[in-house]
Amino acid sequence: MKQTKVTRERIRRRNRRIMVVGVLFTLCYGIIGLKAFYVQVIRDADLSRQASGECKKAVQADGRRGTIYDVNMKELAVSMRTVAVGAHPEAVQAPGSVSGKIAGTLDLSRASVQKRLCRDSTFVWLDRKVSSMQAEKLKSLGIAGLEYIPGFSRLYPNKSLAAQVLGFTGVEGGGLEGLEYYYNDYLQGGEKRCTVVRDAMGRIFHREVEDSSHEAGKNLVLTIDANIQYITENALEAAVKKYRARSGLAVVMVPATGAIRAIAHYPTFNPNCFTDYPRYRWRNRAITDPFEPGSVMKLFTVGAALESGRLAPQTFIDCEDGRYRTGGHVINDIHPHEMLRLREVVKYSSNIGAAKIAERIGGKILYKTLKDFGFGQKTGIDCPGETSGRLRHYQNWRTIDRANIAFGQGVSVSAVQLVSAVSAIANEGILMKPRIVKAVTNQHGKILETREPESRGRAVSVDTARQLKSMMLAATSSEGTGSNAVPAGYPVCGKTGTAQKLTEKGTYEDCEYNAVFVGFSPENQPELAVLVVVNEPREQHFGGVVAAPAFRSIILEAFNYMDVPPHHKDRHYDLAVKDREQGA
Amino acid sequence: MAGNLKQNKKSASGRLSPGIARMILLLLLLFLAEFFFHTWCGVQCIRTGYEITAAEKRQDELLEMQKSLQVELARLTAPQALSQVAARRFHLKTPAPEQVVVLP
Repeated sequence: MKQTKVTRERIRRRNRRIMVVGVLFTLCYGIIGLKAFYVQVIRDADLSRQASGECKKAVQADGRRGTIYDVNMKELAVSMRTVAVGAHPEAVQAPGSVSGKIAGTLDLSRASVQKRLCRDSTFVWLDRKVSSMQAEKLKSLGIAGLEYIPGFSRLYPNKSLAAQVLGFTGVEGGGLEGLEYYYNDYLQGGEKRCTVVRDAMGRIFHREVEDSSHEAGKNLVLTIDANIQYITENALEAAVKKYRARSGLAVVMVPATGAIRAIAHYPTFNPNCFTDYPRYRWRNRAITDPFEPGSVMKLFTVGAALESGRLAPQTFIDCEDGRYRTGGHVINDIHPHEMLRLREVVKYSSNIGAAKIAERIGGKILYKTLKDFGFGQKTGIDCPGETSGRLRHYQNWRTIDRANIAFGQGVSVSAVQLVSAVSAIANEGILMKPRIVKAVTNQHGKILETREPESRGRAVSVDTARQLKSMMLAATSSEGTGSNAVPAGYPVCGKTGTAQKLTEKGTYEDCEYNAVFVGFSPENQPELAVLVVVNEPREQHFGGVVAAPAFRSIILEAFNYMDVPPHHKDRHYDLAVKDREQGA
Repeated sequence: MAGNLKQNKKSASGRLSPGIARMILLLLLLFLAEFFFHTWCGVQCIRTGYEITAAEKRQDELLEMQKSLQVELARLTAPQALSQVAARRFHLKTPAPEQVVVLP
C-alpha cells in the first residue's frame, strides 16, 4: 500500500516534469513558429527582394557596330569582339618581372609596358585591342592588378581600299571620318541590358536579356564595288607614280542610276592604323575639295550654246589664230586655229572658241546651264563635308570672268559634281543624284531601307545631250585631245582638261597643273562614267597624256570584270588586232 | 477484473486503426517524395541554368569565331590579295579586248 503511494508520487512528479518540458518545448516551437510566420509571411516580399539583390545583377554592355558591305556583300568594315587591358600600377607586384610576361603575351615591347606599369597613376591602359584568346592567355598568368574590359574594335579587312570613303572610328567606337561618321547613328549599336543571377561561387546560372532588338547596329550596303574600287586605285596609283604627281583622285559612277562604284585617292591610308598617317590623307577629297576643272568645262559651255538654240554644231567660230584679247586680257590657245565649227571647239579644246561662244550666248544662259548641270550647289551625296564648289552669279562676272568660266577657270567644282554633270550627258540629259549607300539592313540582314535612284532634274534636252555625246566621241578620236583614253573595242565619249592651279596669291603659275580626263563608255549604252584628276604631275601636265591613260586602264579592266563585251567593229579594235598580228 | 477491462478499453481507444496508420504513412511517404522531387527540380533548374549559360557562352564564342573567319575570308578574297595570287602564282593578266571571244 505504502509502495503504491510512493509509486504514484513518483509518477506524478514525472508527469509534472514532462509537463514542464512539454510547455518549454511548446513555447520554443511557438516562438520559432511565430518567427517563421513573421519571416515567411509578413516580411516575405521584403526579404525576397533583399536576397535576390545579393545574387542578381543588372549588366549593361555596348552592342556590336554594324558592318559595312560593298555592293556584292563583301565586308569592308567589321566589328570584332576584343578586350581592353589596363592596369592599376600600385596593385601590380614586381612590375619589372611581370612586364616581360605581359609584353610577350600582348606583342608589345617590354620597355613600354614597364614604363606604363611604373607610372605614378591609378590606372593605365596597356592595350585596347586585345583578342579574346590573348586576353585568356594573359588571365591564366594570374597577374594581379590587371583589368580586362570587354568591348569591340573596328577592322577593315581590305586595308586601304576605299579608306577615304569608309573613314574610321575612334577608340570609343564612334565614327570620326567618312561613312563611319556620316552614318554613325545607323551603325552604332545600342546598349545590351540583361540581368544575371549568380550563385555563391559567383558563377552565372541564369541570364535574362531585357530587349535585344536594338543591341547591334544596322549594316550598310554600299554602291561601291570593291573590285572596281581596286581597279581604279591601281590605275590612279600608276598614273601618279609615273608622272611623279603630288596626288590624284578618281571617281567611277553609273550614269543611269547615280550609283558610285569607286572613289579612289592616292596617296591613301590604312584605316586600321589611321594615326600613323597625316590628317590630310583621311579626307574624301572627291567630295570635300573643289578644283578648277579647266577645259572639261567647255563641254558645258557648248551645251549652253546648243540648248539656247543660238548656235548649232556646224556654226563657225573665229578662233583668232590662237590669240584673242578680251576684257583687257589675252587668251591663248596651245594649238592655234583660225575657224572652227562649234563641235570642233570641243574636239580641239580651244579656249578662244569657248570664250567666243560664251560671248555670243551671254552670261545668263551660260550660268543657267551650269546651274542645271549642278555646279555651284551640293549634289546631296551621302558623305560628310561636301563642298558646293564656286560659281558666282553671272551679274558679278566681268567680261574676262565670263571668258574664263567658259573654259574652266574662275569656277571650281568637286570631283563628284563633275562626274555627275558628265553622267547627265550620258543619261540623255537627266542629272542623277549621286549615291553611295544602296541599302540599310538589320543585324540579321533584313532590309530596312533602300535608296532608290533619284533624279535631280533635266540639265539639257535629249537632242543637246546627244549632240554633246557625239562631240565627246570626236574628242577621243585619233585627232582629238583624248585619244589616249580609248581602249580597243570600247568607244569612249570624253573630254580632257589641263587646268592651271591657282596659287595662294590668286595668280596662275605655269608649273602647277591639274591633269583631268572625264568621260563615259560605251557610247550607246554608257555603263560607267569615270573622272581622273592628277594633281601637279611633273613629267607632263596635259590631261590627254597624264589622266587619259588611267581612264583607259580603268574602263578596260572594269568592263572585263563586268563582262561588258568589246565592240568588234570599233576602229581601235581593228588596229589592235592588226598590231597583234604583226607582232606575232 | 473491472480495472483490467478499463485499461484495455483505454489502450484500444489510444491505438490507431491499421487503415488510418497506413494512410498516415502513405501521406508521409508522399510528402517525403514530393519534398525530394521539389529539391530535385530545384537542383535540375540550377544545373540547366549552368548548362544554358555555358551554351550561351559557347554560342558567343562560335559566333565570334564565325565573324573572325568571315573577316579572314574577306581578307583572303580582297581584290588586292586575289590579283597578287593571280599574277604571281598563276601568271594571269587581264585579257586584251581582241582576245575576248563573245559566244553567241
